[in-house]
Amino acid sequence: MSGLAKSVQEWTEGRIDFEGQAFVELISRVVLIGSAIVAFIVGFVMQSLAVTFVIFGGTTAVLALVVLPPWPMFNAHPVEWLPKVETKEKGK
Amino acid sequence: MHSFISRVNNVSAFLSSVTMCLLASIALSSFLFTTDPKGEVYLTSIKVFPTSQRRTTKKQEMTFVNFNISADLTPLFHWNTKQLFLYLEAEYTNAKGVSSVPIPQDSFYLSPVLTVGTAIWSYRFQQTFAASNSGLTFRLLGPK
Repeated sequence: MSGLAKSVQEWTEGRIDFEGQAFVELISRVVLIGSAIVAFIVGFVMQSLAVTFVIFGGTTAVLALVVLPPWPMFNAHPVEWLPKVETKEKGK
Repeated sequence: MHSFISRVNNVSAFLSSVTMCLLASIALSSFLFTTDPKGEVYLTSIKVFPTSQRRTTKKQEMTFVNFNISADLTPLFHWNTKQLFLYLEAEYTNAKGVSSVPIPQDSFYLSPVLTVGTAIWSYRFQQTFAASNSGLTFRLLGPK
């Protein structure tokens, strides 16, 4: 398989390692809750529902761009597999 | 979170929960706004004469009232207001001495699209009731 096709396949599958998964979960939870709180407060002060949903939707779009694609920073801790153990075949 | 699809799934599920909480808090915040705006109703003409309703021939005494309404409703338009429902109520005393206050079946509404200051009102308000009476009072009521 050529290098380009392989990297395209890697990008569409979107695998990230376990440290990356924990990081993605943390980012998404913090950003979504934080942006909801900020959007509510700013919209309430300015008395405009449009402001609330622009803030909330905008940060959600940016979050999707940061979290969904498998960026290399999420693959910085690949799983360290143990070295292969040679088994001696024992006669029965 | 191991693949693209699972990340989309997880993030969208959490987004739905957060959105519902946001909408609930917006709805709850509407209860903080309590206002009591007043308006005035000016009668321009009152005509009383016997005539018949449309498509009937029975003659009844009917009252035709033309009125103007002047009200400042801007305090009612907080951030979560989509439509306003206003009611016009007529109070009268009939021969039995009881002051009855009919709730009109027609109600008219404003949406925030119409500019409150220069709204053009052309709503027909028709209420038929049997009253042998004296004195008819019109009041403008806000939302209940």
